[in-house]
Amino acid sequence: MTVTLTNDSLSAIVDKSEMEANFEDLRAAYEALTSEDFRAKASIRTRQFAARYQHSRIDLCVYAEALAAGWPASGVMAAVIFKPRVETDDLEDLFLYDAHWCCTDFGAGAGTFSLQWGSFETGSWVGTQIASDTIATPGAGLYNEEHFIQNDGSTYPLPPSGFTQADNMGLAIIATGADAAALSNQGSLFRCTCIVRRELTGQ
Amino acid sequence: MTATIPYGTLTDPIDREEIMANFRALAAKLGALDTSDLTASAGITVAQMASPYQDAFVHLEVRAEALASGWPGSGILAAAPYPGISTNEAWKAVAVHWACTDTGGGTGAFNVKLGTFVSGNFVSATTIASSVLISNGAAANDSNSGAEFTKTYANGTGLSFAADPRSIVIQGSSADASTLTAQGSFVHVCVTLRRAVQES
Repeated sequence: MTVTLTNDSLSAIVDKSEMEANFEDLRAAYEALTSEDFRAKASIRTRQFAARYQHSRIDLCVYAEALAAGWPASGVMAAVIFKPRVETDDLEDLFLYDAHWCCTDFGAGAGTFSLQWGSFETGSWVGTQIASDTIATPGAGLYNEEHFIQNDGSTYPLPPSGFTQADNMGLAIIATGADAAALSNQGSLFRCTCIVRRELTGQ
Repeated sequence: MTATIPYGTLTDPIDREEIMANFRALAAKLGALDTSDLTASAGITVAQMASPYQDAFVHLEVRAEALASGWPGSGILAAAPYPGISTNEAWKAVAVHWACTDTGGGTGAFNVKLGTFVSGNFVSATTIASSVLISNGAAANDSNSGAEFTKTYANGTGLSFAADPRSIVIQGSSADASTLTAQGSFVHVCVTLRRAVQES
């Protein structure tokens, strides 16, 4: 709000009550600031906000129909290339914040995978592991899930430390251990949802 | 923190030291404002923020099992509804990335478009990316990926809302009969959308 001084013009010999009223006007204004007290383009920084994070979702899916003989021992099962940054380097860092998989046919519970960051280079996937997990059996039934990275805003920067940023990089599910019975039922699927997080951006 | 002035009541006649102490207290407050100085519903606007933008990823995937004879030269191959409603600020497309695990002859291509399904047909409103080539990495039938464009918000492709529902689609633009013929192979396209955070 606009600050209005009670006594915009003071007496020639200043009266103390005039001064007191003006001080009170200013004091009250300081503890009731609103949008109007800031310039139209005040450039208030994101880090000055208590709630400053955006979350986006990356889905990595594998379907039974895509597999010849259940979960394989190797190979790129799913990959999403996306945009951690734009052409400038001054965006806030992106972090893998959360990763959660579900599976509707875990077979014998022996299939394993690696969640990796990387890219396709000269025809092949070149990546570095972020996390790994087993598509384990809970003991009965067909379905299972695992929340294998939880609410971690600092451990998994994207790209990982040591990687030079490139535009055509992203996340992939790489098979690392076979289970011929996993995803052998028609219509079954494995899905890993990754939540990536960073501060709001100015670009 | 709450603003305080040391002399809410001044002596009479006024003591200049009291006046100066009050001025100093108010001057010191500038530069030390924090959240408690803002009203609970201060209404800081997007224009007053230095970094107001959020992203959303739209995922479009085409799998080998869905194709009769490799990558087609036309047709809608994948579609995703355009997120948001017309009373929100529209998004801008700031990036298109793709990954493919069977690039075939390297001649397949696709368009990324925003449009509407009307009377059984797709009617394009905006072309986000045109004739994106699913090129070979090093040899035929290998894996590859690419970044079609990456832009700042200011240079992004505006995607207006309309009264009609709208979808972002992958449309075949050039055929390659040997692309996506390997079982389990796929093309995944990720469109990055960006806009300012919304007030509602």
